Amino acid sequence: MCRRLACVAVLGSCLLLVACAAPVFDDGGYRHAALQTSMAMVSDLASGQLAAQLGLRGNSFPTFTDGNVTDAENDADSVNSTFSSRQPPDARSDALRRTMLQALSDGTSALTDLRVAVRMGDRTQVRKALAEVGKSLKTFDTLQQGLQ
Amino acid sequence: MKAVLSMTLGVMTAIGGFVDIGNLVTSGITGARFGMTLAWAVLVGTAGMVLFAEMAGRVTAVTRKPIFHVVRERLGVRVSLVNAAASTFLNLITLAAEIGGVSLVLQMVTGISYLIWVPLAGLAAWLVIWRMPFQWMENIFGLLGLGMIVFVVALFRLPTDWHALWHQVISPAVPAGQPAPTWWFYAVSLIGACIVPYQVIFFSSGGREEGWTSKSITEMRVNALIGFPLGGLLSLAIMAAAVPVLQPLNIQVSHLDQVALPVASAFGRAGLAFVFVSFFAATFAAAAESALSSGYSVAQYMGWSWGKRHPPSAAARFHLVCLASVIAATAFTLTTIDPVTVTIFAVVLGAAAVPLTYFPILIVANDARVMGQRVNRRWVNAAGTFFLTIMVVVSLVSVPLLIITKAGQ
Repeated sequence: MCRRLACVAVLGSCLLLVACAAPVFDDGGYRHAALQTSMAMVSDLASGQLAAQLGLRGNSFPTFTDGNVTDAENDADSVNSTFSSRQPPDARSDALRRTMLQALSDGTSALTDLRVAVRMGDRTQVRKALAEVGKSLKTFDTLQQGLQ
Repeated sequence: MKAVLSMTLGVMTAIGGFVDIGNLVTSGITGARFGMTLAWAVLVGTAGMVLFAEMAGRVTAVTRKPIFHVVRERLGVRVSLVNAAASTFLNLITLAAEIGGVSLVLQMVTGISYLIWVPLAGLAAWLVIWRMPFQWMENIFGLLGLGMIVFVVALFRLPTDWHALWHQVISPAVPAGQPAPTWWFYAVSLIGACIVPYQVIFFSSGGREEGWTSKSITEMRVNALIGFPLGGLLSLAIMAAAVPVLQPLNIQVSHLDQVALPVASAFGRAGLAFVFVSFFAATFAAAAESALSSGYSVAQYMGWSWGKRHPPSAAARFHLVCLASVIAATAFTLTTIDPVTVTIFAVVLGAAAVPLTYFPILIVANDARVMGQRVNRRWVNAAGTFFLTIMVVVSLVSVPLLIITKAGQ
């Protein structure tokens, strides 16, 4: 009985660990984490962008567009804070950290602006915010090329 | 004519009823991330579902007893307890995922947080179990679920590269830049989404609710052999629709509403309306079915009176288990754990536990003393054993893959 309970406890602990961000110990690991973060951010930006474009064209309901853009913003925020919490292992990684944090912050802000504009139903502001989201996507594209 | 109509209705409800939150989420995620390279997993899962649903339905039709009842008689109380406990546990997780799915659809439509909808979705599921006649429930939601055909039609409206899609289907490989363990993890998830244990329990118990006898075997086979594969086709369409829209933009699906984006791209608001109705029907029907399946498995194992064909006062303990399941699953969903994450865990753990549910079905369907002339043919045994072997491998690798890939990241 005790052995079974121990097995269940070990399995449960493993499943809980699934949710944690693993520490990185060298520059290679940090760059890999930055690449994964960048890919996740591109996904969030593109998802918000697509939903807002569909909304602008009248191909989507306002609540649906809002839901998608809000999800993208929340996910971007989560990606941002997860990467911020990682400790860079050396000075080179620290330089990358600063570049990444600036890009992540710009991307999250662009999505926040997009969400505000979508909720206000202001088409001009939506277009402006979409332009910012497009810029952020380009930044991450460049970053990804450097990290690969 | 009446028989043909009844069969057509059965097939249509089987198509609509096959797809649930697990299929919606896993098909959307994999289509956007891996294209059609994991289509084989849907085909394997659907083939297994057809094979074992047919066996379970045949056992029910011949013995006029539900599957858990026969399994308990044949394998004994202790062995079948493992089976009943595993199924009930999985039904509960699946029910939580489905209630979360219903609430997410309502959030998509109204913009009101899904957490507000969770208790209402749970209450509505229980009311349907309590009040709505079995065939109404099956037919209404099954038919509304057919609205997912909009994903098939959308493929013709979107810039679909059919040649590339077909190439990915027939020569599956891990796409460049994607980690192999994650690809395998989603293969397991897709198989798990197709063969969730509650569907077999519901299919065979539903047979008793509808009074199947040996004469109903043809109708049951048509439902299983045509309805489920066409349901699998809907899963493949959801996967394929993500390829021309989400994959080029590198969008990784992590929310249910992202699964609907390809249809919005193809048909705008009209398409979205179809998606909302069919997603609601699919998840709501699955919520009611998984809650009923909890009641079925416990009541059949315990030998209690069960089923919607009896008034609730004549099957009080069965209805009590259904109600307790709905309350427990609703409470679990209200903990704010992301319903999509719950879904991923449900399908993967479901895949891990499938041999526990399917192995006893194979044994009983192959027992000439129980089945008489309707015993499994050799090729069915061979196919069943082959599929079970695959499922044992899947069950052994599923939890390690869940941990290694951090649930598919």
